[in-house]
Amino acid sequence: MQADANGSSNAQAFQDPGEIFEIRDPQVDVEALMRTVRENVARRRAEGAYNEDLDAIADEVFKDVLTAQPLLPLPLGDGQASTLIELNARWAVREVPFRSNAPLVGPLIVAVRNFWNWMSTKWYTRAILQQQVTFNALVVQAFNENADEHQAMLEETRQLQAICQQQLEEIALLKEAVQRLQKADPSDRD
Amino acid sequence: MPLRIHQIGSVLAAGDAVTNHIVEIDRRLKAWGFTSHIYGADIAATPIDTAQPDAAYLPFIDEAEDVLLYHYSAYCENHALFRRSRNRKVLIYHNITPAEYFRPYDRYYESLCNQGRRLLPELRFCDRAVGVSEYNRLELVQRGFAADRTSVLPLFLGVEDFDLTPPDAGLFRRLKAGNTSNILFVGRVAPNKAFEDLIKVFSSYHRHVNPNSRLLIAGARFLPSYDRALDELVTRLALTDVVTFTGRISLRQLKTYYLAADLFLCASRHEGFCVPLLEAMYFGAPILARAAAGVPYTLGEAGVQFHAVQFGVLAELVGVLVDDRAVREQIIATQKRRLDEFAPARVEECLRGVLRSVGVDVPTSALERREIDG
Repeated sequence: MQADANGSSNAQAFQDPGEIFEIRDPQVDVEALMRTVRENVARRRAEGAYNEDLDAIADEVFKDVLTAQPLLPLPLGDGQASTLIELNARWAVREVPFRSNAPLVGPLIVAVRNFWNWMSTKWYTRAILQQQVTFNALVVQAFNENADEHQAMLEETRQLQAICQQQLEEIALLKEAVQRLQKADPSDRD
Repeated sequence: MPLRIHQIGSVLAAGDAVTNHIVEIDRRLKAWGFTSHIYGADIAATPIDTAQPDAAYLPFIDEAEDVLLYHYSAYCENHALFRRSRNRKVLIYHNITPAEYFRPYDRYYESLCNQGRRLLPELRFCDRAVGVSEYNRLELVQRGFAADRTSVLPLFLGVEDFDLTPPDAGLFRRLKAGNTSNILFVGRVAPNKAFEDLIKVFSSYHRHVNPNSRLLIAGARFLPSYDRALDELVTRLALTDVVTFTGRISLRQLKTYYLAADLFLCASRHEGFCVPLLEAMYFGAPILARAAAGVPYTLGEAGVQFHAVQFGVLAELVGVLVDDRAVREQIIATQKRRLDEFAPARVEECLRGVLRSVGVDVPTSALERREIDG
């Protein structure tokens, strides 16, 4: 809150209309319009207008409303759920068997290729592959646990909100009862 | 065989600006002799008889001759179709609200906007990217789209439907009864449109300048926590009798509200284009709007724009715009001239330009159209 030239309390410091709005239309007498606005503001301020702090009122209202009902965490969306399903289906890396469609010599090619893979890379890559599979399994397990925990917390939040709502309603009823008692004629009391 | 042009959107719904634009483009494409298809991820509420689920586009996805116009206004899984498509591809960017506006009210919308904005740069691999305003085009360039492959295609203002719809005479009489001044805003009740500022400015005007006034807010409500905060603010400021949230309304009611409006007041902090500004111009309501995001690009020299919310100054300015006949007439006249710049013929020319930029010859006369039809 700031005090204006007259010493009265004002919600907003006065800014010249020229800083507030803009008219680009060259046909409008902008100076005359600014003058009118300036004079009207000054006159009404002198009469005590424009003293309410609308920003503070709105801030308080919004804070109250938003505090009363905190945001629910997002449930797993379709996209996240399908990603999780896919992760669970694909965490285990599998070796792809070598195939050949070549007629007659196909089985021979497959046998030679399998032998070569066994000779050249199998003992080296299998250990690395196993490390990757172990890592994938741990990651998927962690995601699954997080998703379960997320859903459980969501459910708990919902239950807590329902309890809060019920208690707010009870408080409102109690307030009404208190007001009725306060307004009642004391002579009616025992 | 006429050239096929496909349009894909997300949710196609009656009264939605993006859907209207798709319909208007479809009309032109058909009139020019092209085969035009419309698809959406959600077509349950669409006013388009011929709209199909987006999966129906799949048989055309590898056709290099076809043209795909992808309307991007919200995150939607069907972006995968656009990215996979081998058609000549045009992205039409309608803008996506920055997520932070939704953060205090709804995690789902916040997440949706975040996803939508994050995805935008991934859509840059296309033949042309088009903003529905210069503001949107500049955002495309900022997000990594090649500037020389961007342009502006303004939204078509579908005034024919307004012209064919009679106003609601009873509602109009009630709105104009007692010489009450009607301050109007049209748009869904979303936090980026800063309804709290709208209510605060109106409160100042109503309390100190003109007690015989009301604020009409015409638009769907969809965020319960934001709605509750606005309702509570209206109650706290003792404005319940003079502030009306209409909720979703018919075209007939919307036309009536525009006709009864003495001022169109827009406090939005973020708009990609803001079709209601053009509608207000069309119906001759002077405009006072916050100079934010796409609004200055849509208004040009028209209307009055504000840069800060100073309640006294804005309340008095509303008073002048409502009561000073000379100022009103001048502002309305300039708004009409501005509206001419969005005339259907001009937007059609922009659409032709977009199609030409991806190698499509657009007929300019009925004769050429017949030639294309073969």
